Amino acid sequence: MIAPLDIDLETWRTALAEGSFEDVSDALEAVVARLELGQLRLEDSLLCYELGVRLAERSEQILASAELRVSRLSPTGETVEGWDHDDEPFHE
Amino acid sequence: MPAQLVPVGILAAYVRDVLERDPILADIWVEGEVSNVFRAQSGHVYFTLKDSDAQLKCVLFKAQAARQLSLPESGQQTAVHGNISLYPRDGAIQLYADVIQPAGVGLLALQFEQLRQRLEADGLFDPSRKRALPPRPHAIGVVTSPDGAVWHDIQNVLRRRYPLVEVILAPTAVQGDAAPAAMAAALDAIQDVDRVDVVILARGGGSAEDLAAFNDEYVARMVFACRVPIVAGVGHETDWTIVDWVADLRAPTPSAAAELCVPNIADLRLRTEDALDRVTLALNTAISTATIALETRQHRLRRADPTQRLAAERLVLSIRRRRLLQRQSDVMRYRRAGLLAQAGLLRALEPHGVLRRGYAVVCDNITGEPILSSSRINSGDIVTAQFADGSVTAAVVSTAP
Repeated sequence: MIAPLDIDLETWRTALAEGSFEDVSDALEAVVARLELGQLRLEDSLLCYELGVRLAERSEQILASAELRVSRLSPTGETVEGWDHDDEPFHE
Repeated sequence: MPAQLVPVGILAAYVRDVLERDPILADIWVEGEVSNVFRAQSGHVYFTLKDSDAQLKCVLFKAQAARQLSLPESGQQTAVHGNISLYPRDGAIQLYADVIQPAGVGLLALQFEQLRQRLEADGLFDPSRKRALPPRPHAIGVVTSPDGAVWHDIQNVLRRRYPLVEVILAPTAVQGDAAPAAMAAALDAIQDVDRVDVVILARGGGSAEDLAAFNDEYVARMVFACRVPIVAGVGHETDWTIVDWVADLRAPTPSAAAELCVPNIADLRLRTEDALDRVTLALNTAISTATIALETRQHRLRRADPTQRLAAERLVLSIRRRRLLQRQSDVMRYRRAGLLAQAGLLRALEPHGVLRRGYAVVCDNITGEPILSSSRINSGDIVTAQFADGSVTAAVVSTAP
């Protein structure tokens, strides 16, 4: 009872290459779930495993290199990168 | 002579109009001692407010009574808010009350209570209207003062817990007369940023006056109408403002508000590690399952091998042959033993003296069995005559009858 690889390899590989943390995290969860379901050809199990490991590494990489993005709204409604203390706050 | 004759009813109605049109009398806080409290069956509460100079009849209707934290108590110094009117039926001027507040509280607190009740009645505090925060926000809007520790602390909390997020400050005054309008403008602007999916409204600790802008009705209504969920982090843990009740979530401090908005990066790391463990375990399981399947197939193959089967069958065959031969020789032995036994039996009958007395037994030549009847013998048969001391082989000449 070996099922064909009924998973979206394409999506997962895309997530690995260019996805946000959420995309990578969701893909990793999907890979784990499929692998745990079992009934894969051995080669496909190995494929999923490798993909899972790489997704986990990528997710950790994103977290490690993340920097809080801080910006500020000016009264004219534009967001300004960084934060300049001298800029005017809102008023009526 | 009077210029005009006015019926009492008309006059009463006129006085009532005068009273109700007066702006001061339409919205007034009165202080005095409560007495003569009467709770009618209808649910309306009638009482009197008095001091040394005068007294005033008051009525608190059932609907308003239900909203009070405490009802008028005889002897208690109390502040009562309401409007003055005349009840034509008994010609009495009455205070139609809507807020009862035991004395000892300042005007600010009285107005606070009044506003609180009104907004509650308008549904601004309704728990079913509170929205859940997004589990992984993309951008957090923060409405607070650019000066002071609050903005600083919020940034630190977010940087430590969830640096993946973007945080956008909408700077505003958070105290003073201009604050309510400025805060409303900031709230309006931060909602316009599409990627903002949660807002924090915050300010540090302060006196009741300092926090006044967060009790402002306009600000409260802006918070209620916010496009995205809004978290209030105002003052210290024990400070409660109107905004705290209206917000989707109340945090005890600004830093706590930031924490509530985002997941913890440490938890995210743990989840990744857990996923890695699971993936490894699943692969090991897959490998052992495949190995077992392979070994089973190999085993079955070996058992089905023709050369093996042949050798096995030959072995079985030789065992069977040996057993067969064994049985045949056993049969022969038993037969021989039978014969000897019979011969022995014959001789054993001797002590009974048959042969010693001279009789002979006629036996079958081949089997040695005694022939007991002449009808068993035919002419020409070879028989053996057994005497006590030997035997004679004879041919039968004739039989009779």
